[in-house]
Amino acid sequence: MSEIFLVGRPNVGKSYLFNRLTDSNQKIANFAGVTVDKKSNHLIDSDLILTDLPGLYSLKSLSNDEVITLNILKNSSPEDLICLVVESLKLKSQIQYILEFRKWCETYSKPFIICLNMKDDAIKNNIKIEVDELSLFLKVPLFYASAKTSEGLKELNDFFLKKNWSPPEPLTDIKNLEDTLKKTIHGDLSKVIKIHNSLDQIFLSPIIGPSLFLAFTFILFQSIFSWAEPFMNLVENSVTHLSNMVSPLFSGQLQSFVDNAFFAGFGAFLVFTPQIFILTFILTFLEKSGYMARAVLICHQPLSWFGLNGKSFIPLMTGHACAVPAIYSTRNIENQWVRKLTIFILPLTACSARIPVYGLLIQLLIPNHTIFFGIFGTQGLVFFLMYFFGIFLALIVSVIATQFSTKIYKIKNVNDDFIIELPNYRWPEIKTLFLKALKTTFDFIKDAGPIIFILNAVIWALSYYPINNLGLKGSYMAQFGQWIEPVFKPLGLDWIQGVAVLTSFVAREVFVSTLGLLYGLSADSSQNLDAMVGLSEMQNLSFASGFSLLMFFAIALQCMSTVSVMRKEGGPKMAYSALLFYLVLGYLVAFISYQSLKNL
Amino acid sequence: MTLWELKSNQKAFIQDIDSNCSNYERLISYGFNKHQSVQFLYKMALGGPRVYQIGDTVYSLSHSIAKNIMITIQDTDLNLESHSSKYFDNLILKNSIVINSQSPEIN
Repeated sequence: MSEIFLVGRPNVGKSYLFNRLTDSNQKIANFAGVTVDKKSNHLIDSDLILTDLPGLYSLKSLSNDEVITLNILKNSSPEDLICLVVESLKLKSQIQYILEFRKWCETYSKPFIICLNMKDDAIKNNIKIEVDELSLFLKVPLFYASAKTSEGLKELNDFFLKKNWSPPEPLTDIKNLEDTLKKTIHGDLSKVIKIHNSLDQIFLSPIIGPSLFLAFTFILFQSIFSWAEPFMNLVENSVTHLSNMVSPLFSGQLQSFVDNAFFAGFGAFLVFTPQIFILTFILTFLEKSGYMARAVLICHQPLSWFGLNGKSFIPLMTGHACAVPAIYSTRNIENQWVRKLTIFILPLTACSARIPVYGLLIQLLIPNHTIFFGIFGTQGLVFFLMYFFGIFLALIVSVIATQFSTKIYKIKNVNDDFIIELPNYRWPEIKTLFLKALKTTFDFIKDAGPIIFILNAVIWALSYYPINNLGLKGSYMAQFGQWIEPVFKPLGLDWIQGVAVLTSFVAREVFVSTLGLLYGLSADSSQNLDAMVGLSEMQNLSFASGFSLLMFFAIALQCMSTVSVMRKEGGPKMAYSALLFYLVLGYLVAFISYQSLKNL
Repeated sequence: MTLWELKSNQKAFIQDIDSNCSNYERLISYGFNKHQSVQFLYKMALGGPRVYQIGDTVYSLSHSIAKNIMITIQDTDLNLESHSSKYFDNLILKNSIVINSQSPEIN
């Protein structure tokens, strides 16, 4: 079966093109290195496979994701087609790259075509390209298209389907390269460059740049908490309404199961999905607008003080959504030491699975007052501080690890070398951002939902049986909880909270649903967050105990998916040492916090 | 004179790149070639990387990399045309080298 490979420099719209041609919805962003692993899918209404490969700056591979692309191209069959995607606006400056690829395909008899993407961008900026003339000169089929507007995609798709592909013939007229480019590419890019440079003058200015960066970061975290509230209430009310409708249809044990395992447990988890939606929406906006690359640059020097470099910023930022894609995105970091260090500290960034836990505990511990003319709230501010704490701790671990390794392994100036392309600014399409955020949210529910539901069912069964007069206190869960209580007592936690912490090792978000389920049984509560916060058991949680829980959740690595990806990308030694290190550190910090605060 | 020594908004041409520097291949693949035009755009705070326009693409480079790129200041338009021709001559030459070497990196 023939396969078509989309290759090209990073940030030329390969993923966008792939999505259009295959009707997929993979991540698209406006900074180098979004695709860190290959993605394949069938072309629409065809059995031909289209593969989107990680960006490649040249045929001399340097970073891990470039090695992936190179190995795939090397092992491709002579029947496969290599489609080089080039940004139309920068065609002239990428001619060396085109010639390099063209020559390689000619040498190895690989069928080859060029797709000039982002036609809309070129037209908007008055760049005219004589496609036919250029195609004749290069002796390669050339398609002028726009993945954004779908213009030219039909012709490209038809060409793919015909399978009339061939390797390029030798160039005979190469000496006329300069003249041909002058004849075939018309227009002046200086105006476009001037506009982008004037924006950079603001975003990269020594004082305004970092200030804006901090402001954007603060707004991002504030939005997750304060601005998501109306949507969270909507989900909460919908779950309550549904529960009231469905529950009377059952009776006895089944009603208890539906009420507690499903609506109380699963409902408590669903309430937090608007926060995940907003986080993804804003992160995607920053990526697609081109700002993320500037943020990398702003962060390089400060991060280098901690043994990291600017390219660690993207994984650290992505880690706030989920550590799993963040670990994959470290493949863009050429320096292997910095890459491994970034992977090691990633579990400390406050991922979206921590949102439900932070949300519950902050509501319980921090009174909500509005500040700054009613725009921001104190709970939102504490939420921001928790995120800041995660980053702060990650940097501390990083600097200690660097100091330690520098002395042991004599590693020097690991993070000195830094080079990054700054893409043009683009105003992202709101629909794309919305769809991306929606997909991430549904993926989160789809991935975590079944685990949460199964765990809730198990916990419900352990808490419901054996049926006796003692209720929850006489259940198997109570017996198990009391057995493990000595481990959690020094942190100021009772056996129910201890059980919830234990179940959270499958995934952090399970903590809230377990509490909802366990307290729902013991206090006959409804499933929503306000009701959980209002429960007497939760109200009785002292500030010291709540704070120790917050600390434990901020540090411990309670995510098996993260451990497994760490194992794959950084090796088993790193994965298991990280699991143990963060568990011990989390417990110690929680213990010290509780013991210091309990008498205040 | 190295790229790092270029002053704000000053334009130049790449004269040579130290082939012994660890990022040589990376620089070439990014389009840093002999006779390519460069312009210094911004300096980051705290001695961080600097921002340069290379052809029609903008890059940011740290001192450890920029110090390996030797440059010649662009003073006249005539100078610009002559470097542009040499830049293309260089590309053509590279293309023929690729033919002869058959990309050994991929073998």
